[in-house]
Amino acid sequence: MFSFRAMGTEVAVAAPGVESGEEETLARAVAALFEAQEQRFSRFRDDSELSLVHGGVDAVHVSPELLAALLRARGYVELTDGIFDPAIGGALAAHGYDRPFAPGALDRAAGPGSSLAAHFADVQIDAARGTVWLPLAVRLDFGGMIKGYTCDRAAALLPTPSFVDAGGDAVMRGAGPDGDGWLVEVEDPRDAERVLVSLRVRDRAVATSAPNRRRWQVGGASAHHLIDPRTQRPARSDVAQVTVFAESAELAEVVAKTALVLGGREARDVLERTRSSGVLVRSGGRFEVVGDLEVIGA
Amino acid sequence: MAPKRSPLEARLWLTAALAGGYVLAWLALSPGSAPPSGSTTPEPSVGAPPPQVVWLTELPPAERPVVVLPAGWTLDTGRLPAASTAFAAQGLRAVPVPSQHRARVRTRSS
Repeated sequence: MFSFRAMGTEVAVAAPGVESGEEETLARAVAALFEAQEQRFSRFRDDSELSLVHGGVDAVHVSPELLAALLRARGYVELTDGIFDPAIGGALAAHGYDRPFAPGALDRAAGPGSSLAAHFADVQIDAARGTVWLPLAVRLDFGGMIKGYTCDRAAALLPTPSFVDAGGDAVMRGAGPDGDGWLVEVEDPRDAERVLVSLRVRDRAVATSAPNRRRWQVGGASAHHLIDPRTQRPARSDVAQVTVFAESAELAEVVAKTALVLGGREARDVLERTRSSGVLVRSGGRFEVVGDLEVIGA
Repeated sequence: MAPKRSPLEARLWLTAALAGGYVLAWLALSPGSAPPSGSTTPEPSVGAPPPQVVWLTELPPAERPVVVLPAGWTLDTGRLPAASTAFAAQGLRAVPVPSQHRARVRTRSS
């Protein structure tokens, strides 16, 4: 197994069926893919394609990759009735998330700034011409969606069995090194040292949303990165963490974020409606397993 | 015989001469006086039709143009760049992970 840093997290690549030299070559290819994706989609790089799209008066031509991401995002916005919305970049920046996250790096004495309400539905995409137009208020933040998508693409480069794990967003191919499934440990959001539940998984992708790690202080109050597009503020939810298993890491990311923002009974509903399985952890620590998952320890 | 200048008059002449020199130097060196360099901030391409781009390998074999490459060159397949070269060029580094962490995924928000 090899690891490298990308997209603000540690990425691990494992292909236990091949020799170490070949595994390293595969890891290098995956790292190059992550770097290329970050260069295109990061909102923290002034020369990323995403940054160049912002602030234009007229529609601009975009790369096929960005166009495809925008079209997929539009599908996810419709799937989640707007709860997943990449247009919350402005709200994130207004709440202090205007640079790469590091513990303490976003803390500030001043309170949240103001941001105009922005919705992805206002983004005009012309797929035939390959152009996009963003209203001035819209700042896109694809966030975990692109990280999940990059895991999906990386996994397609790897043999079976293998996995790509980008800070907990992972794609697992095959049935693990011994044929009895990949071991997945769901972290306890109240104690990162503790495993809440262990599962065996085959040929699935996983992603987790929780406000416990990307958290900072703004004006004496706690803020986090999961913005509720209905309020343009950090979500208030009775769900502390959502881990979702789906066909792709991208879909798992979208469903996990949506379930966390919605909370309540709707959190479970969105997993069932998207035919996903997962583990919902409520604020009090109680957790529930949704769907068909092989639990091997709790 | 020229009339003798008072010290005050001499200082005024000196100040005027320095001010004149400053103005001339400012006119000569100010950015506005520089000739156009021809380099301007690129405007996003607006309204123009999108460029027609296609990978050679995506064309049907019969429609592929004949491309003569210099010795040692190869056609890009449109897939990922060669892993080793891209990796080295970008300064990325893969680090082996101890075996006890193998084959296990720890879910968390990140």
